[in-house]
Amino acid sequence: MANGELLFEQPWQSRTFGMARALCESGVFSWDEFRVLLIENIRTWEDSHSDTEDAATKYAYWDLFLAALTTLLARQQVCPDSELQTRQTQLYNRPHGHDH
Amino acid sequence: MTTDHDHDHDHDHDHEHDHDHDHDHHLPPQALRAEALEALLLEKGVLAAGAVDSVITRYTERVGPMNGAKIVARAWCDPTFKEWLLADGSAAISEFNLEGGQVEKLVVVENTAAIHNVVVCTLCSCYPWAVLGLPPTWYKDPAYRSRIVREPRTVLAEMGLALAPEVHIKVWDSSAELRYMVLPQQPAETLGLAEAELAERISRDAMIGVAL
Repeated sequence: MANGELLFEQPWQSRTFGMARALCESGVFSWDEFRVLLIENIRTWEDSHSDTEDAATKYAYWDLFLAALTTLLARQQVCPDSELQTRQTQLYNRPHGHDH
Repeated sequence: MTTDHDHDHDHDHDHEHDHDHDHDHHLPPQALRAEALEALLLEKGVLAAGAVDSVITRYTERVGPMNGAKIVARAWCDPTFKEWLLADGSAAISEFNLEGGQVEKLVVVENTAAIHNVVVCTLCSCYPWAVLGLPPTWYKDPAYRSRIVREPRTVLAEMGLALAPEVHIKVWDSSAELRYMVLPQQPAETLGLAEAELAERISRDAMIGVAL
């Protein structure tokens, strides 16, 4: 779409962006609230990866984005972390053939 | 006459497939986490069914730099519009009814022979989605975000844009309130072309300021 580049390298990234925007548009949180957490995550990552080589190879923007989203939803008690973790573990343990 | 077929080959393949438990865990943890989150939010009624798909479709099909390119082409053809665009970017683009957001306070900065503009978000990834779509990966990387402010001429040269030493470079750092878009200079050889033809020649990178 944008100069022929992929917007998202992995499908989960597009789902994550879609969730964040959909939740913001339905009033669950403001984009400013979300951005504050994203900036915090980015700053924390950068502070602990001051080596330039690290920054080039390991920076995972969408990991930080997803973390900001889950943190915000946990703080708002919309989706507690324990519940998310339980469901994530269930998905991890589901039988072969269900992952798409 | 033999009736032996290649059963052994088929059996080996089946056994390998059945015993390869690693296939169950080939999704990275983030993928599972995002899937878990989406499922929970749907179950809780916090997310409406189809809402996520709708957002993704919007940004993959309707939101993108082709919209910014139309605006630039209009500015090249219409001096009154250009003046308005530079004075109040958000107001000037409102008639285009663009989807995508993040342009409530859009500032359009004009390249001239003396000044070259480039945009960054030093803190995260702020970007004028409605006119440029979603930002490229390099725009969000720590290296670009810090270096374009410290050594813009070098970074631009590395990205393929070598500016004459007398050209002054202005770096615009997006904030929570403001978004920026660069109005590139119109190449002399395109004077007289129709707006639609011009729009095809205007790149996303030029509207960020890392290309001409």
